[in-house]
Amino acid sequence: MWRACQSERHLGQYYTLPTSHLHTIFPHGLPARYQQQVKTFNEGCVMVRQPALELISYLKAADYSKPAVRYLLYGLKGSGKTMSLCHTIHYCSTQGWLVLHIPDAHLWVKNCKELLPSSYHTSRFDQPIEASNWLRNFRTTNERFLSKIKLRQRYTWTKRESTEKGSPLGELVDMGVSRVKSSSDVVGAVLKELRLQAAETEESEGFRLAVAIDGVNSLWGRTTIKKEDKSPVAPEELTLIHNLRKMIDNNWCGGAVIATLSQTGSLYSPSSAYLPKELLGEEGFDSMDPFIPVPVSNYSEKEFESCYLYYLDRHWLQHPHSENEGKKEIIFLSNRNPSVLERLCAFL
Amino acid sequence: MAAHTLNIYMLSLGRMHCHIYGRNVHKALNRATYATALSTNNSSLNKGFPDRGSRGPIIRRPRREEGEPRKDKMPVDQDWTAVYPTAAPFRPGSVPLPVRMGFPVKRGVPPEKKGNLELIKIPNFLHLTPTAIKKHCEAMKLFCTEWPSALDTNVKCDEHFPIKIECKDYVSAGTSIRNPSARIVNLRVKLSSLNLDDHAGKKMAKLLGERYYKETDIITIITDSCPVRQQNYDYAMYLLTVLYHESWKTEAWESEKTVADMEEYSWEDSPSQKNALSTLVRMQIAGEVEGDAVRDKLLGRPEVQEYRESVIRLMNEGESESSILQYREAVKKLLKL
Repeated sequence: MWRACQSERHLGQYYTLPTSHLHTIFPHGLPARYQQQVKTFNEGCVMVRQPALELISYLKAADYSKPAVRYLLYGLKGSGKTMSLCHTIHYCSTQGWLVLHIPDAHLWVKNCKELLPSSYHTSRFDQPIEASNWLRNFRTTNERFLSKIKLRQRYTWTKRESTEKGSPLGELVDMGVSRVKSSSDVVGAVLKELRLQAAETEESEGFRLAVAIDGVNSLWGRTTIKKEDKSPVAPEELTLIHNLRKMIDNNWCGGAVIATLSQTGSLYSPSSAYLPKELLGEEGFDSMDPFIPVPVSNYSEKEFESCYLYYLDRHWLQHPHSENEGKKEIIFLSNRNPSVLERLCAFL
Repeated sequence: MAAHTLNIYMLSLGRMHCHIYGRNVHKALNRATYATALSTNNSSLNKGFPDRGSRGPIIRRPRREEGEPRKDKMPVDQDWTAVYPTAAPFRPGSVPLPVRMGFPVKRGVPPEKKGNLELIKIPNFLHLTPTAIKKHCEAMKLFCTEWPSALDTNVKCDEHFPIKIECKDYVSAGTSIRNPSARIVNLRVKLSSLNLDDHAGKKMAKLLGERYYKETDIITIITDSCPVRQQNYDYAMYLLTVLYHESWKTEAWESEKTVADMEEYSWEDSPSQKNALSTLVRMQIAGEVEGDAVRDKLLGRPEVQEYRESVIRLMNEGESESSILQYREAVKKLLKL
């Protein structure tokens, strides 16, 4: 497939995401402004950029009998980390991997409307709404795997309900979506099963697992969720976060963990922070260590030209000066930062 | 010659410019003041101050014209120390600089210096130009002794006289010659010049807290608790002696020093080392025997050493693009990508 042969020759060029993929692979993954752009232009075009290509080359070269390698995309605000992540996820999808995409981990640590004490572990808290939303999107993304993967263990939810060993994963996910109260525990069970089963080789119905987390620094920061006695909840007291941290550990084989740092949604961190250790904190760094940091920078000259030509081509830039003098102004104003450029061009 | 004439030409131009500007403004002002003075005079004579009885009419001396402000008459090579010999408030007429200060109201510009209270309120150092300071030094040389010729470099001074004491003396014209600020004693010494080993040095730094500046390695002890300078000096020396002896002793509770107390990061026994080792062990699960031998062998590998150095650099020096890239290369080699 075309996507698999992307190489450095294609740096700076755009490739189109098929619409069917947009609905299945990215029900919740793309940045909001990009989704608006897709709706406006009626197509989703992603630029091939160096960080994504680097990640894809690492994924191609890695040995999947060894423990999972962790990659961390970091960079200034708006430089394209989430888009690079989506590009990599698309690649993984087309290669037949199972993609576990958490679009914004920050959403799980703030603004929680309902917090239930966990039935499984007394000191933890469940977030039923977020968990069921995520399960729904997970179901859309990985339809074909849901019937293939069989559970290794029996899970009991209540005295009368349980999921038997050997039943397909789809059943578990459906149960989680319908019975919202236990959805967080379902998420935990799903993650555990996938972790155990990813280690098998391809012949015996194994698969490769890609865990993609956007805003991974929220897992170790603070939360704004409060208990009933107004004391703050630590991240590890949330079931979802607890299970996600287990996924990030490299004690499982047969896949990769791709994460991005995000200052934008993060809590209690200064807006100028973008380097890994600043945003992850001591605890986060120790958990992720050793990881491979991949820097994402603003557009280079060539990439900027390509983006500009794309906007011109789609007749997005209507101003008469767009050809020459306006370009210099735009370069000066945006400093070739992708998100700033996109916001500026929205006015023209 | 050409340069010289150019100079004079520029000079004269400048002066003319000054003059014209000054003259115009002053003429306008003069006219304004004169006009208003006249009018008020007239009205006051008739209406404001009617018959004063036996005291007679008020004799108002006619207001004399303002002269040119001093800045217009200043030659470029004048002696500035004559304009501001001592600390004095800002005089807009004596300072030839077009200074503006204040908040620009309604998209305007900061107000000019004439009649500007902001400029008068702030302290100015117009009396302390380099020339003025040179003159002060020349005057003080009469009261100083010669600097010993053998101590010509800073290094030699530090070597022979590591402890530096700084005291200030104050002179003012007033009823009393005493100034309580003269009792403050400032003691500075480099930590490296004291005979301390590793543990003692760290303990000393912790005891000193803010008084020790790591970048320049200087301990600063400022004493002002006693009323007399002699007493403050003795106290400072006593503090230094006590700190020195205390930091050599090791107390029982010092063994409870935790990782958070450590000044710099050590890789041994850190979570980073454990992670790296466990990753490597998992990577080579087939066939290897568990135990200390494997651990030491793994630790001795060059990739692990490189990884260790990059982590130490990241933790001690803080993050920067280059240190992160170094970390990346080390991790890639470690994980064999």
